[in-house]
Amino acid sequence: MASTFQFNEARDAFVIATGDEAMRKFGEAATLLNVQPRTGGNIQRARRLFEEVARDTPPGSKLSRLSRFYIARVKEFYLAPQDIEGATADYLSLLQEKTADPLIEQGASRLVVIAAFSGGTPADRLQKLAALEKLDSLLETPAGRREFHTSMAYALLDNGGDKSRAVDHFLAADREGFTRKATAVSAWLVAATTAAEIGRNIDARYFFEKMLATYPQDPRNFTVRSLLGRLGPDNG
Amino acid sequence: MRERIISSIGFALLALCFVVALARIGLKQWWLPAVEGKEQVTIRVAHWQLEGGVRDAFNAMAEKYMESHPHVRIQQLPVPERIFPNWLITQLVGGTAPDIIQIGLGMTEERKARYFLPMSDLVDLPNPYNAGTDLDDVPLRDTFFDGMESSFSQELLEYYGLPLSGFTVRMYYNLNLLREITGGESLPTTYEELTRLCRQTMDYAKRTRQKISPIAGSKYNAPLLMDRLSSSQTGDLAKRLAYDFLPNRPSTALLASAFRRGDWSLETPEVEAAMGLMRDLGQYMQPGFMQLMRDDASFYFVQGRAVMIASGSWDSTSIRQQADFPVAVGPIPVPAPQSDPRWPYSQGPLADSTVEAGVVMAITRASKHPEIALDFLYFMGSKPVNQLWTDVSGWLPSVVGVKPAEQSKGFAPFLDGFIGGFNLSFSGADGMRVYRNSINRLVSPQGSVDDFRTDLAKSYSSAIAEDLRRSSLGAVQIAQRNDTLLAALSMLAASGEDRASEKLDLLLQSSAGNDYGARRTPAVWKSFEN
Repeated sequence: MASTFQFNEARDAFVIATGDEAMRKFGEAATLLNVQPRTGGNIQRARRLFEEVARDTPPGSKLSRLSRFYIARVKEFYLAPQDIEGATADYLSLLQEKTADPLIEQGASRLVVIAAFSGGTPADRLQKLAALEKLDSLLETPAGRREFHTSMAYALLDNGGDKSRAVDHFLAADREGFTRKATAVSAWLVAATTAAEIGRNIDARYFFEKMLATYPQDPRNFTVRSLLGRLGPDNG
Repeated sequence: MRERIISSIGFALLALCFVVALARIGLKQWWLPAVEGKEQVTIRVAHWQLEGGVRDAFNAMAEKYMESHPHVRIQQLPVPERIFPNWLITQLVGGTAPDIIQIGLGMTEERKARYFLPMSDLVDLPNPYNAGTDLDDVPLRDTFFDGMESSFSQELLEYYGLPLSGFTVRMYYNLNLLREITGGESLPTTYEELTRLCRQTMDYAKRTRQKISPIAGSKYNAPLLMDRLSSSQTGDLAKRLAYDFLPNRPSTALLASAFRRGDWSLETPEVEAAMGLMRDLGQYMQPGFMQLMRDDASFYFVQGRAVMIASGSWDSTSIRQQADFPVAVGPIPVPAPQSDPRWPYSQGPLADSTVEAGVVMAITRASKHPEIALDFLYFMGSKPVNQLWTDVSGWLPSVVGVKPAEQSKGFAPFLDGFIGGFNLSFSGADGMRVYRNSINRLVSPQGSVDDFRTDLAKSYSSAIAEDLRRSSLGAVQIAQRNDTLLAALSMLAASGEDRASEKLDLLLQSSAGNDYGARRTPAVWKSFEN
């Protein structure tokens, strides 16, 4: 029912469900996040249910960890005002447990994005981003690594950071594999033009050619071929 | 006495109408089953394409299908575009929706998910109606030139429906007027030739004292032309301003951020050239065109009161049917590099900005005969029947290898061109509103680039900020909605549910991108408030 956006009906089904109580509570909480109308009461109840599941299930279990991940999401996206500090601490704590869960590992990407658009000067933000580079070692799923590296690449570019490092992150993300066209095209073309700009022509050529080979009918390809033709030998 | 006779005739006619209507219904209900000895099934197909030729094309496909499936009756329901969204929701919520509905107008992802059947399990299997053609055994997805991207929901991660047509935008020409004015039928191939034709038309109108404009414009048609021209000047600027200029031309957040930082303004030379180009051609449209609707401009053109009109391939058959003169179509030329010192930022020819297919027809969950609806959908999406569709409608085909009809050859997608830059209405609805409010100051005879710029500048920044605010809220709402779906997919993937891992991976990519925007866009928006 959730996949057809029947959140209210899905929530009602979880409320009366029998069997695994932790699963029932988790399902109710997850659907409550989108029950219409969205009220502060519903969000508080969802948070309470996630906390109960996290507390009452074995600490290393999927349900416990997912509940903690969703508590962080509630803090980041549902509270007014947002509790960014709390969300940051929760994401980090989960990552340190090396959960090998692709959804929970999205916390790494969230930490990058939170840092990228936090207060202070661009230099402050770049420092925060540099400190997050080590998160890579905590990630064990392709999806977790892919989204972390993609976010890091964009975050560096958005803050005027090291373009060569951004290209490295795009290459790392690409190694994990994009399967969604819009995401892939954006990453490849930004990576290619950034690499070309700083003279890393081998990498630029790699990304441009990947675009041409994967999506030969794309209307951007004339421009891609034109940029590819202008690349000289690698200077990077 | 005379009045009584007239009344009697009136009643008799009314009675005749009633009998005819009754007979038609009766025939539909009883005659076919009697012929076939099978239960008669009616498949209703709704769409909003009232343009000339399209209803005929649907009828032609329906008739061909009914020939080989005599127990099935295909009923076409053309619904006017203006009322389609309201009609759609009434039908969907009321449980009375037709079996197959065109996806697009009034559609949301929620409605798609709730009321339509996904086809994802079928896209890797061949279309049975392609048997015996060169697409025999080719996966359904690969039989469409856009790889069925037009059917794929990026949010729901499912395919809904099959596309029937492709679309491009071109300039239509009244060949009679063109011949009278220029003495020939050569279409302009460069921007200089285009404006020369406009000037020749003005001279001709003056000389012959006819009310003829070079170009028919409206709030619908003019942007098709103006946006293309202005984007021909901002390509290099976009490249300097934003790292995502190539994939996103560039994104609203990066362009708005650059505007806020002062990296570009309404006085930036490239932007000024874009405005100048819009004025240069805008002055050749009929006065007050931005107050006119799409139909007004089409009417103006088919009445022979304009030599040209910019529109999409979707108007091709309508225009040809209504015009009592021969019509030709050609690309919209933009200034070539170094062709004119006033437009120094031209890169070269521009590619068609999109090659996605359209007229996506999908099966509703309300269908009582989804298997027959699917069969008809396969039929419409097959190579031989898509050829019939394009031949009768005059629209571009969607299936690989189908030849465009003679009258639609000029609409074949043009890919050997650059991607243009941005337009002044880049930020969204509010940006478009203030742009439209000021445009007369640019294109009216008394107007000027300065006048337009001064007027636009009064509300431009606040309009961008409002669009960013709305976009920020939208991104957060999508993030929240994805949260529940991600939780469900995560649990399903852990239990080994079919395709759940694949869907989870797609949604993770989509939601990571959205969540990035959910923090970046508010940051840019807030910078406008400081």
